Amino acid sequence: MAGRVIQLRLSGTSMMPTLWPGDLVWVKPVKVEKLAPGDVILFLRENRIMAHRIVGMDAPAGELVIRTRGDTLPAGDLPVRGSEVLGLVTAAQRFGTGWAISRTPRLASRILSRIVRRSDRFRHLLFTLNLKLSHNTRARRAW
Amino acid sequence: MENRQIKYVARSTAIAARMLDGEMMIMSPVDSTFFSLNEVASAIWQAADGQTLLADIVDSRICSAFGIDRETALRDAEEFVEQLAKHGILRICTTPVANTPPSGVFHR
Amino acid sequence: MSAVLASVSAAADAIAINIGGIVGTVHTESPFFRQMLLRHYHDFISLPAKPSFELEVELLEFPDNSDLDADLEVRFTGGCWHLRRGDFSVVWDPTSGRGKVRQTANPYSIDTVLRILHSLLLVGQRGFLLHAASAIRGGRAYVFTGLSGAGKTTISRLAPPHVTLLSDEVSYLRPLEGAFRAFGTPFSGELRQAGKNCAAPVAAIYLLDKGPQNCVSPVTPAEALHALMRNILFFADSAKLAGSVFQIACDFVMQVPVKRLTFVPDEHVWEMIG
Repeated sequence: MAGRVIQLRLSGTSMMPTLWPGDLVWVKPVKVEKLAPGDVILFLRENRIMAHRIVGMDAPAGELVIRTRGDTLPAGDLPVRGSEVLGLVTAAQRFGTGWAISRTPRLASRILSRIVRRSDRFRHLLFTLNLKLSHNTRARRAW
Repeated sequence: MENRQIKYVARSTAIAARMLDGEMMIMSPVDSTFFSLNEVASAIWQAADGQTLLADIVDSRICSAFGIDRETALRDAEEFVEQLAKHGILRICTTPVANTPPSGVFHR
Repeated sequence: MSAVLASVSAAADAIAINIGGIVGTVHTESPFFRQMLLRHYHDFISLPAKPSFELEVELLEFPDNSDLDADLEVRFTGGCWHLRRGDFSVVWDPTSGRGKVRQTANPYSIDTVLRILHSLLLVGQRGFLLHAASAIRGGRAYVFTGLSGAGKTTISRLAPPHVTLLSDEVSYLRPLEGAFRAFGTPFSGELRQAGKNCAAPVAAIYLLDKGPQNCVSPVTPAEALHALMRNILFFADSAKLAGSVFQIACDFVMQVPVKRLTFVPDEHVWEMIG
Protein backbone atom coordinates (compact mmCIF):
# COMPACT_ATOMS: atom_id res chain seq x y z
CA MET A 1 0.00 0.00 0.00
CA ALA A 2 3.06 2.17 0.42
CA GLY A 3 1.49 5.01 2.35
CA ARG A 4 -1.34 5.85 0.00
CA VAL A 5 -5.06 5.89 0.56
CA ILE A 6 -6.84 3.74 -1.95
CA GLN A 7 -10.45 3.37 -2.98
CA LEU A 8 -12.10 0.06 -3.64
CA ARG A 9 -15.56 -0.99 -4.62
CA LEU A 10 -17.05 -3.64 -2.35
CA SER A 11 -19.08 -6.68 -3.18
CA GLY A 12 -20.86 -9.08 -0.84
CA THR A 13 -23.32 -8.47 1.97
CA SER A 14 -21.21 -9.66 4.89
CA MET A 15 -20.88 -6.16 6.37
CA MET A 16 -24.48 -4.97 6.14
CA PRO A 17 -25.82 -2.52 7.15
CA THR A 18 -22.58 -0.64 7.64
CA LEU A 19 -21.28 -1.41 4.17
CA TRP A 20 -23.37 -2.39 1.17
CA PRO A 21 -22.38 -4.14 -2.04
CA GLY A 22 -21.24 -1.52 -4.49
CA ASP A 23 -20.05 0.91 -1.82
CA LEU A 24 -16.82 2.68 -2.54
CA VAL A 25 -14.52 2.47 0.48
CA TRP A 26 -11.45 4.46 1.43
CA VAL A 27 -8.65 2.41 2.88
CA LYS A 28 -5.63 3.94 4.53
CA PRO A 29 -2.44 2.19 5.58
CA VAL A 30 -2.21 1.65 9.31
CA LYS A 31 0.20 0.37 11.91
CA VAL A 32 -1.35 -2.82 13.25
CA GLU A 33 -0.63 -1.79 16.84
CA LYS A 34 -3.05 1.08 16.37
CA LEU A 35 -5.93 -1.21 15.44
CA ALA A 36 -8.63 -2.13 17.93
CA PRO A 37 -11.83 -4.19 18.04
CA GLY A 38 -14.56 -2.40 16.12
CA ASP A 39 -12.27 -1.29 13.31
CA VAL A 40 -13.09 -2.52 9.82
CA ILE A 41 -9.93 -3.70 8.12
CA LEU A 42 -8.98 -4.82 4.66
CA PHE A 43 -6.95 -8.00 4.53
CA LEU A 44 -5.75 -10.57 2.08
CA ARG A 45 -7.20 -14.04 2.32
CA GLU A 46 -6.53 -16.72 -0.30
CA ASN A 47 -6.18 -14.32 -3.21
CA ARG A 48 -9.23 -12.39 -2.15
CA ILE A 49 -9.40 -9.04 -0.49
CA MET A 50 -11.83 -8.97 2.42
CA ALA A 51 -13.22 -6.16 4.52
CA HIS A 52 -14.41 -7.41 7.91
CA ARG A 53 -14.63 -6.04 11.40
CA ILE A 54 -12.11 -6.77 14.14
CA VAL A 55 -13.78 -8.63 17.01
CA GLY A 56 -10.68 -9.44 19.03
CA MET A 57 -6.93 -9.17 19.12
CA ASP A 58 -4.32 -11.06 21.03
CA ALA A 59 -0.73 -12.15 20.83
CA PRO A 60 -0.62 -15.74 22.10
CA ALA A 61 2.91 -16.50 20.96
CA GLY A 62 4.21 -12.95 20.83
CA GLU A 63 2.92 -12.38 17.29
CA LEU A 64 -0.25 -10.34 16.90
CA VAL A 65 -3.30 -12.30 15.80
CA ILE A 66 -6.46 -10.49 14.80
CA ARG A 67 -9.88 -12.10 14.87
CA THR A 68 -12.35 -10.70 12.37
CA ARG A 69 -15.90 -11.41 11.34
CA GLY A 70 -18.31 -10.07 8.78
CA ASP A 71 -21.17 -8.41 10.68
CA THR A 72 -23.79 -10.64 9.06
CA LEU A 73 -21.86 -13.89 9.28
CA PRO A 74 -22.42 -16.45 12.02
CA ALA A 75 -18.80 -17.37 12.63
CA GLY A 76 -15.55 -15.48 12.61
CA ASP A 77 -12.85 -15.78 9.99
CA LEU A 78 -9.64 -17.73 10.29
CA PRO A 79 -7.25 -15.54 12.30
CA VAL A 80 -5.55 -12.70 10.47
CA ARG A 81 -1.85 -12.07 10.93
CA GLY A 82 -0.54 -8.55 11.15
CA SER A 83 1.27 -9.09 7.87
CA GLU A 84 -2.01 -9.85 6.07
CA VAL A 85 -3.60 -6.51 6.96
CA LEU A 86 -3.78 -4.17 3.99
CA GLY A 87 -5.29 -1.18 5.73
CA LEU A 88 -8.07 0.41 7.74
CA VAL A 89 -11.42 1.22 6.15
CA THR A 90 -12.00 4.82 7.12
CA ALA A 91 -14.87 5.99 4.97
CA ALA A 92 -17.42 4.81 2.47
CA GLN A 93 -19.53 6.34 -0.24
CA ARG A 94 -22.85 5.22 -1.64
CA PHE A 95 -24.84 7.01 -4.31
CA GLY A 96 -22.69 10.07 -3.97
CA THR A 97 -23.04 10.40 -0.20
CA GLY A 98 -20.01 9.68 1.92
CA TRP A 99 -19.58 9.01 5.61
CA ALA A 100 -16.83 8.03 7.98
CA ILE A 101 -16.56 4.48 9.28
CA SER A 102 -16.07 4.69 12.99
CA ARG A 103 -15.01 2.10 15.46
CA THR A 104 -18.42 0.84 16.47
CA PRO A 105 -18.45 -1.11 19.70
CA ARG A 106 -20.34 -4.27 18.89
CA LEU A 107 -21.81 -6.17 21.77
CA ALA A 108 -21.25 -9.92 21.91
CA SER A 109 -24.97 -10.31 21.46
CA ARG A 110 -24.92 -8.54 18.13
CA ILE A 111 -24.15 -11.47 15.95
CA LEU A 112 -26.56 -13.27 13.73
CA SER A 113 -25.99 -16.71 15.01
CA ARG A 114 -26.91 -16.82 18.65
CA ILE A 115 -26.36 -20.51 18.84
CA VAL A 116 -22.73 -20.50 19.79
CA ARG A 117 -21.36 -17.30 21.04
CA ARG A 118 -18.01 -18.15 22.53
CA SER A 119 -17.46 -20.27 19.56
CA ASP A 120 -13.79 -20.48 18.94
CA ARG A 121 -13.09 -23.30 21.30
CA PHE A 122 -15.86 -25.30 22.77
CA ARG A 123 -15.25 -26.52 26.24
CA HIS A 124 -14.86 -30.14 26.92
CA LEU A 125 -15.69 -30.53 30.56
CA LEU A 126 -13.78 -33.32 32.08
CA PHE A 127 -14.19 -34.84 35.40
CA THR A 128 -10.56 -35.39 36.12
CA LEU A 129 -9.70 -37.92 38.72
CA ASN A 130 -6.16 -38.69 39.71
CA LEU A 131 -6.37 -42.33 38.90
CA LYS A 132 -7.24 -45.07 36.75
CA LEU A 133 -9.93 -43.99 34.31
CA SER A 134 -9.22 -46.62 31.76
CA HIS A 135 -10.57 -47.07 28.28
CA ASN A 136 -12.51 -50.05 29.51
CA THR A 137 -14.82 -48.07 31.72
CA ARG A 138 -17.75 -48.63 29.39
CA ALA A 139 -17.48 -52.36 29.86
CA ARG A 140 -17.04 -52.02 33.62
CA ARG A 141 -19.93 -49.69 34.21
CA ALA A 142 -22.22 -50.68 37.06
CA TRP A 143 -25.40 -49.54 35.34
CA MET B 1 -13.79 -36.30 59.72
CA GLU B 2 -14.55 -33.25 57.64
CA ASN B 3 -17.98 -31.73 58.02
CA ARG B 4 -19.23 -31.54 54.50
CA GLN B 5 -22.15 -29.36 53.59
CA ILE B 6 -25.28 -31.16 52.51
CA LYS B 7 -25.37 -30.77 48.76
CA TYR B 8 -28.17 -31.53 46.38
CA VAL B 9 -27.41 -31.05 42.70
CA ALA B 10 -30.00 -30.31 40.07
CA ARG B 11 -29.84 -29.77 36.34
CA SER B 12 -30.60 -26.19 35.44
CA THR B 13 -33.74 -25.37 33.54
CA ALA B 14 -33.38 -23.98 30.03
CA ILE B 15 -30.35 -26.11 29.29
CA ALA B 16 -30.57 -27.96 26.00
CA ALA B 17 -28.93 -31.36 26.31
CA ARG B 18 -28.54 -34.46 24.17
CA MET B 19 -26.46 -37.60 24.33
CA LEU B 20 -24.46 -38.14 21.17
CA ASP B 21 -22.26 -41.19 20.90
CA GLY B 22 -21.65 -41.48 24.63
CA GLU B 23 -20.96 -37.79 25.22
CA MET B 24 -23.42 -35.37 26.65
CA MET B 25 -23.76 -32.26 24.52
CA ILE B 26 -25.02 -29.28 26.43
CA MET B 27 -25.96 -25.83 25.34
CA SER B 28 -26.87 -23.03 27.63
CA PRO B 29 -29.26 -20.94 25.54
CA VAL B 30 -29.00 -18.19 28.11
CA ASP B 31 -25.43 -17.37 27.23
CA SER B 32 -25.12 -19.62 24.18
CA THR B 33 -22.12 -21.51 25.41
CA PHE B 34 -21.64 -25.07 24.29
CA PHE B 35 -20.04 -27.90 26.20
CA SER B 36 -19.51 -31.56 25.86
CA LEU B 37 -19.25 -33.71 28.97
CA ASN B 38 -17.20 -36.85 29.09
CA GLU B 39 -18.53 -40.11 30.55
CA VAL B 40 -18.04 -39.33 34.21
CA ALA B 41 -19.33 -35.78 33.84
CA SER B 42 -22.34 -37.15 31.96
CA ALA B 43 -23.00 -39.62 34.77
CA ILE B 44 -23.21 -36.79 37.26
CA TRP B 45 -25.41 -34.77 34.92
CA GLN B 46 -27.84 -37.63 34.49
CA ALA B 47 -28.02 -38.26 38.23
CA ALA B 48 -28.54 -34.60 39.13
CA ASP B 49 -32.29 -34.82 39.67
CA GLY B 50 -32.41 -32.34 42.52
CA GLN B 51 -33.49 -35.01 44.98
CA THR B 52 -30.22 -36.86 45.41
CA LEU B 53 -27.29 -35.80 47.53
CA LEU B 54 -24.03 -35.38 45.66
CA ALA B 55 -22.41 -37.79 48.08
CA ASP B 56 -24.96 -40.45 47.15
CA ILE B 57 -24.42 -39.85 43.44
CA VAL B 58 -20.72 -40.35 43.93
CA ASP B 59 -21.28 -43.54 45.95
CA SER B 60 -23.73 -45.13 43.56
CA ARG B 61 -22.49 -43.96 40.18
CA ILE B 62 -18.83 -43.11 40.40
CA CYS B 63 -16.88 -45.08 42.97
CA SER B 64 -17.68 -48.60 41.91
CA ALA B 65 -18.23 -47.86 38.24
CA PHE B 66 -14.91 -46.14 37.84
CA GLY B 67 -12.99 -47.84 40.63
CA ILE B 68 -12.12 -44.82 42.75
CA ASP B 69 -12.01 -44.38 46.51
CA ARG B 70 -14.81 -42.40 48.05
CA GLU B 71 -12.78 -39.54 49.52
CA THR B 72 -11.02 -38.74 46.25
CA ALA B 73 -14.15 -39.06 44.21
CA LEU B 74 -16.21 -36.87 46.50
CA ARG B 75 -13.56 -34.16 46.64
CA ASP B 76 -13.20 -34.11 42.87
CA ALA B 77 -16.96 -34.25 42.39
CA GLU B 78 -17.48 -31.21 44.57
CA GLU B 79 -14.87 -29.23 42.68
CA PHE B 80 -16.39 -30.34 39.45
CA VAL B 81 -20.00 -29.44 40.23
CA GLU B 82 -18.80 -26.00 41.32
CA GLN B 83 -17.45 -25.60 37.79
CA LEU B 84 -20.70 -26.71 36.22
CA ALA B 85 -22.63 -24.39 38.53
CA LYS B 86 -20.45 -21.46 37.51
CA HIS B 87 -21.50 -22.04 33.92
CA GLY B 88 -25.14 -22.30 34.90
CA ILE B 89 -25.44 -25.96 33.99
CA LEU B 90 -26.12 -27.31 37.46
CA ARG B 91 -27.59 -25.83 40.58
CA ILE B 92 -26.25 -26.68 44.00
CA CYS B 93 -28.63 -26.44 46.97
CA THR B 94 -28.74 -27.41 50.60
CA THR B 95 -32.31 -28.69 50.26
CA PRO B 96 -33.94 -30.88 47.60
CA VAL B 97 -34.95 -29.06 44.43
CA ALA B 98 -38.26 -29.63 42.72
CA ASN B 99 -39.00 -29.39 38.99
CA THR B 100 -35.68 -30.51 37.69
CA PRO B 101 -35.91 -30.91 33.93
CA PRO B 102 -35.18 -34.29 32.31
CA SER B 103 -31.62 -35.13 31.40
CA GLY B 104 -32.17 -35.38 27.67
CA VAL B 105 -31.10 -38.98 27.59
CA PHE B 106 -33.71 -41.19 26.01
CA HIS B 107 -33.61 -44.83 26.86
CA ARG B 108 -35.15 -46.88 24.10
CA MET C 1 -49.62 -3.65 15.97
CA SER C 2 -52.60 -5.56 14.68
CA ALA C 3 -54.08 -2.34 13.30
CA VAL C 4 -51.08 -2.07 11.01
CA LEU C 5 -51.43 -5.62 9.83
CA ALA C 6 -55.19 -5.52 9.41
CA SER C 7 -54.68 -3.40 6.34
CA VAL C 8 -52.30 -5.89 4.77
CA SER C 9 -54.24 -8.26 2.63
CA ALA C 10 -53.12 -10.73 0.04
CA ALA C 11 -52.81 -8.73 -3.13
CA ALA C 12 -53.59 -10.38 -6.42
CA ASP C 13 -50.31 -9.32 -7.95
CA ALA C 14 -48.14 -10.41 -5.04
CA ILE C 15 -45.07 -12.39 -6.01
CA ALA C 16 -44.82 -15.86 -4.50
CA ILE C 17 -41.34 -17.16 -3.71
CA ASN C 18 -40.96 -20.85 -2.88
CA ILE C 19 -37.75 -21.82 -1.12
CA GLY C 20 -37.39 -25.30 0.32
CA GLY C 21 -41.11 -25.90 0.01
CA ILE C 22 -41.96 -22.88 2.16
CA VAL C 23 -43.84 -20.26 0.18
CA GLY C 24 -43.91 -16.57 1.01
CA THR C 25 -45.55 -13.78 -0.96
CA VAL C 26 -44.24 -10.25 -1.35
CA HIS C 27 -46.36 -7.39 -2.55
CA THR C 28 -45.21 -3.91 -3.48
CA GLU C 29 -46.77 -0.88 -5.13
CA SER C 30 -43.53 -0.13 -6.94
CA PRO C 31 -43.23 -1.66 -10.42
CA PHE C 32 -39.47 -1.16 -10.28
CA PHE C 33 -39.16 -3.11 -7.02
CA ARG C 34 -41.49 -5.78 -8.37
CA GLN C 35 -39.29 -6.22 -11.43
CA MET C 36 -36.26 -6.47 -9.21
CA LEU C 37 -37.90 -9.23 -7.17
CA LEU C 38 -38.91 -11.14 -10.28
CA ARG C 39 -35.37 -10.92 -11.61
CA HIS C 40 -33.62 -11.74 -8.35
CA TYR C 41 -35.80 -14.68 -7.32
CA HIS C 42 -36.43 -15.80 -10.86
CA ASP C 43 -36.04 -19.60 -10.44
CA PHE C 44 -37.95 -19.55 -7.18
CA ILE C 45 -41.07 -17.70 -8.27
CA SER C 46 -44.09 -19.96 -7.87
CA LEU C 47 -47.84 -20.09 -7.50
CA PRO C 48 -48.94 -18.48 -4.24
CA ALA C 49 -50.44 -21.73 -2.95
CA LYS C 50 -50.74 -21.78 0.85
CA PRO C 51 -48.14 -19.15 1.70
CA SER C 52 -46.58 -19.33 5.14
CA PHE C 53 -46.07 -15.59 5.08
CA GLU C 54 -47.46 -12.64 3.15
CA LEU C 55 -45.43 -9.47 3.16
CA GLU C 56 -46.37 -5.98 2.15
CA VAL C 57 -43.30 -3.92 1.33
CA GLU C 58 -43.43 -0.20 1.86
CA LEU C 59 -40.55 1.54 0.15
CA LEU C 60 -39.07 4.53 1.89
CA GLU C 61 -36.94 7.28 0.50
CA PHE C 62 -34.84 7.28 3.65
CA PRO C 63 -34.58 4.48 6.22
CA ASP C 64 -36.78 5.24 9.21
CA ASN C 65 -34.21 3.96 11.65
CA SER C 66 -32.21 6.85 13.05
CA ASP C 67 -29.23 4.56 13.58
CA LEU C 68 -28.31 3.38 10.11
CA ASP C 69 -25.65 1.15 11.53
CA ALA C 70 -27.94 -0.57 14.00
CA ASP C 71 -27.39 -4.29 14.29
CA LEU C 72 -30.07 -6.85 13.71
CA GLU C 73 -32.74 -7.50 16.32
CA VAL C 74 -35.31 -10.25 16.05
CA ARG C 75 -37.77 -10.24 18.93
CA PHE C 76 -41.17 -11.69 19.66
CA THR C 77 -43.49 -9.37 21.56
CA GLY C 78 -47.19 -8.70 21.55
CA GLY C 79 -47.85 -11.75 19.41
CA CYS C 80 -45.63 -10.56 16.57
CA TRP C 81 -42.06 -10.93 15.45
CA HIS C 82 -40.25 -7.62 15.20
CA LEU C 83 -37.26 -7.56 12.90
CA ARG C 84 -35.13 -4.49 12.90
CA ARG C 85 -31.81 -3.46 11.41
CA GLY C 86 -30.31 -0.16 10.23
CA ASP C 87 -31.80 -0.68 6.79
CA PHE C 88 -35.25 -2.20 7.47
CA SER C 89 -37.98 -2.85 9.97
CA VAL C 90 -40.57 -5.60 9.87
CA VAL C 91 -43.60 -6.57 11.93
CA TRP C 92 -44.81 -10.10 11.23
CA ASP C 93 -47.71 -11.97 12.80
CA PRO C 94 -46.97 -15.71 12.64
CA THR C 95 -50.60 -16.61 13.30
CA SER C 96 -52.08 -14.78 10.32
CA GLY C 97 -48.83 -15.02 8.35
CA ARG C 98 -49.05 -11.35 7.44
CA GLY C 99 -46.28 -8.85 7.79
CA LYS C 100 -45.21 -5.39 6.84
CA VAL C 101 -41.72 -4.47 5.68
CA ARG C 102 -40.36 -0.93 5.62
CA GLN C 103 -37.14 -0.44 3.72
CA THR C 104 -35.51 1.66 1.02
CA ALA C 105 -35.54 0.42 -2.55
CA ASN C 106 -32.77 -2.14 -2.52
CA PRO C 107 -32.61 -5.92 -2.93
CA TYR C 108 -30.43 -6.68 0.11
CA SER C 109 -32.87 -5.78 2.85
CA ILE C 110 -35.71 -7.94 1.56
CA ASP C 111 -33.23 -10.77 1.04
CA THR C 112 -32.24 -10.63 4.71
CA VAL C 113 -35.91 -10.50 5.72
CA LEU C 114 -36.60 -13.64 3.72
CA ARG C 115 -33.64 -15.46 5.31
CA ILE C 116 -34.88 -14.53 8.77
CA LEU C 117 -38.47 -15.59 8.15
CA HIS C 118 -37.38 -18.89 6.65
CA SER C 119 -35.07 -19.54 9.60
CA LEU C 120 -38.00 -18.99 11.99
CA LEU C 121 -40.39 -21.16 10.00
CA LEU C 122 -37.82 -23.91 9.59
CA VAL C 123 -37.70 -24.51 13.35
CA GLY C 124 -41.27 -25.77 13.17
CA GLN C 125 -40.24 -28.05 10.31
CA ARG C 126 -37.20 -29.40 12.21
CA GLY C 127 -34.90 -27.78 9.65
CA PHE C 128 -32.37 -24.97 9.55
CA LEU C 129 -30.33 -22.61 7.40
CA LEU C 130 -26.60 -23.22 7.37
CA HIS C 131 -23.74 -20.99 6.30
CA ALA C 132 -22.56 -23.56 3.80
CA ALA C 133 -22.32 -24.36 0.12
CA SER C 134 -24.28 -27.32 -1.17
CA ALA C 135 -24.52 -29.16 -4.45
CA ILE C 136 -26.13 -32.24 -5.95
CA ARG C 137 -24.17 -34.95 -7.65
CA GLY C 138 -25.60 -38.27 -8.71
CA GLY C 139 -28.93 -37.49 -7.10
CA ARG C 140 -27.40 -36.87 -3.66
CA ALA C 141 -26.61 -33.58 -1.95
CA TYR C 142 -23.27 -32.66 -0.41
CA VAL C 143 -22.92 -29.78 2.01
CA PHE C 144 -19.71 -27.84 2.66
CA THR C 145 -19.48 -25.65 5.69
CA GLY C 146 -16.61 -23.55 6.95
CA LEU C 147 -15.40 -20.10 7.79
CA SER C 148 -15.05 -17.28 5.32
CA GLY C 149 -12.08 -18.08 3.18
CA ALA C 150 -12.25 -21.78 4.05
CA GLY C 151 -13.43 -22.55 0.54
CA LYS C 152 -17.21 -22.62 0.18
CA THR C 153 -17.25 -20.45 -2.90
CA THR C 154 -14.04 -22.03 -4.19
CA ILE C 155 -15.42 -25.55 -3.99
CA SER C 156 -18.59 -24.34 -5.70
CA ARG C 157 -16.54 -22.82 -8.53
CA LEU C 158 -14.49 -26.00 -8.91
CA ALA C 159 -17.51 -28.25 -9.30
CA PRO C 160 -17.55 -30.36 -12.48
CA PRO C 161 -20.26 -29.62 -15.06
CA HIS C 162 -22.62 -32.40 -14.00
CA VAL C 163 -22.84 -31.04 -10.46
CA THR C 164 -25.88 -28.88 -9.67
CA LEU C 165 -25.17 -26.01 -7.33
CA LEU C 166 -27.79 -25.39 -4.65
CA SER C 167 -26.03 -22.41 -3.06
CA ASP C 168 -22.51 -21.19 -2.42
CA GLU C 169 -23.43 -19.52 0.86
CA VAL C 170 -26.73 -20.42 2.49
CA SER C 171 -27.83 -24.04 2.52
CA TYR C 172 -31.39 -25.01 3.30
CA LEU C 173 -31.76 -28.25 5.20
CA ARG C 174 -34.95 -29.87 6.31
CA PRO C 175 -36.16 -33.43 6.84
CA LEU C 176 -38.79 -34.88 4.55
CA GLU C 177 -40.08 -38.40 5.14
CA GLY C 178 -37.47 -38.86 7.85
CA ALA C 179 -34.39 -37.93 5.83
CA PHE C 180 -32.67 -34.57 5.65
CA ARG C 181 -32.77 -32.96 2.22
CA ALA C 182 -30.84 -29.99 0.93
CA PHE C 183 -32.76 -27.45 -1.12
CA GLY C 184 -31.50 -24.85 -3.57
CA THR C 185 -31.77 -21.24 -2.48
CA PRO C 186 -31.53 -17.85 -4.16
CA PHE C 187 -29.27 -16.79 -1.28
CA SER C 188 -25.84 -16.47 -2.79
CA GLY C 189 -22.50 -15.32 -1.52
CA GLU C 190 -19.66 -14.20 -3.71
CA LEU C 191 -20.87 -16.19 -6.65
CA ARG C 192 -23.78 -13.78 -6.76
CA GLN C 193 -25.80 -16.32 -8.60
CA ALA C 194 -28.85 -18.09 -7.31
CA GLY C 195 -28.72 -21.83 -6.90
CA LYS C 196 -30.96 -24.21 -8.79
CA ASN C 197 -34.42 -24.71 -7.41
CA CYS C 198 -34.20 -28.42 -6.68
CA ALA C 199 -33.42 -30.77 -3.82
CA ALA C 200 -31.86 -34.08 -2.92
CA PRO C 201 -31.26 -36.20 0.20
CA VAL C 202 -28.07 -35.19 2.00
CA ALA C 203 -25.36 -37.82 1.63
CA ALA C 204 -22.69 -36.10 3.72
CA ILE C 205 -21.56 -32.83 5.17
CA TYR C 206 -17.94 -31.74 4.92
CA LEU C 207 -16.18 -29.36 7.29
CA LEU C 208 -13.83 -27.41 5.06
CA ASP C 209 -10.18 -26.70 5.64
CA LYS C 210 -7.50 -25.75 3.17
CA GLY C 211 -4.31 -27.75 3.16
CA PRO C 212 -1.43 -29.03 1.05
CA GLN C 213 -3.34 -32.06 -0.14
CA ASN C 214 -6.85 -33.33 -0.59
CA CYS C 215 -7.93 -35.56 2.24
CA VAL C 216 -11.10 -36.62 3.99
CA SER C 217 -10.88 -37.45 7.68
CA PRO C 218 -13.41 -38.45 10.33
CA VAL C 219 -14.83 -36.08 12.90
CA THR C 220 -16.22 -36.83 16.38
CA PRO C 221 -19.90 -36.15 17.04
CA ALA C 222 -18.93 -33.33 19.42
CA GLU C 223 -16.74 -31.66 16.78
CA ALA C 224 -19.45 -32.15 14.20
CA LEU C 225 -22.14 -30.63 16.40
CA HIS C 226 -19.95 -27.72 17.36
CA ALA C 227 -19.00 -26.96 13.74
CA LEU C 228 -22.62 -27.17 12.74
CA MET C 229 -23.88 -24.89 15.47
CA ARG C 230 -21.23 -22.28 14.72
CA ASN C 231 -22.56 -22.07 11.20
CA ILE C 232 -26.31 -22.25 11.70
CA LEU C 233 -28.04 -19.04 10.72
CA PHE C 234 -30.40 -18.28 13.53
CA PHE C 235 -31.38 -14.79 14.42
CA ALA C 236 -34.09 -14.79 17.06
CA ASP C 237 -33.62 -13.64 20.60
CA SER C 238 -35.34 -16.68 22.06
CA ALA C 239 -33.73 -19.19 24.40
CA LYS C 240 -36.55 -21.64 23.75
CA LEU C 241 -36.10 -21.55 19.97
CA ALA C 242 -32.34 -21.77 20.37
CA GLY C 243 -32.89 -24.95 22.38
CA SER C 244 -35.03 -26.35 19.56
CA VAL C 245 -32.39 -25.52 16.99
CA PHE C 246 -29.83 -27.33 19.15
CA GLN C 247 -31.99 -30.46 19.13
CA ILE C 248 -32.45 -30.19 15.36
CA ALA C 249 -28.69 -29.91 14.91
CA CYS C 250 -28.26 -33.05 17.05
CA ASP C 251 -30.80 -34.88 14.86
CA PHE C 252 -28.80 -33.88 11.81
CA VAL C 253 -25.49 -35.09 13.23
CA MET C 254 -27.08 -38.41 14.15
CA GLN C 255 -28.42 -38.94 10.65
CA VAL C 256 -25.90 -37.44 8.25
CA PRO C 257 -22.21 -38.46 8.07
CA VAL C 258 -19.95 -35.53 8.98
CA LYS C 259 -16.37 -35.53 7.70
CA ARG C 260 -13.51 -33.09 7.51
CA LEU C 261 -12.35 -32.19 4.02
CA THR C 262 -8.93 -30.66 3.77
CA PHE C 263 -8.33 -29.54 0.24
CA VAL C 264 -6.04 -27.91 -2.23
CA PRO C 265 -8.02 -25.47 -4.33
CA ASP C 266 -8.01 -27.50 -7.52
CA GLU C 267 -10.64 -29.46 -9.39
CA HIS C 268 -9.37 -32.82 -8.09
CA VAL C 269 -11.08 -32.13 -4.77
CA TRP C 270 -14.36 -33.27 -6.32
CA GLU C 271 -12.90 -36.75 -6.75
CA MET C 272 -12.91 -37.05 -2.95
CA ILE C 273 -16.59 -36.26 -2.62
CA GLY C 274 -19.12 -39.01 -2.40
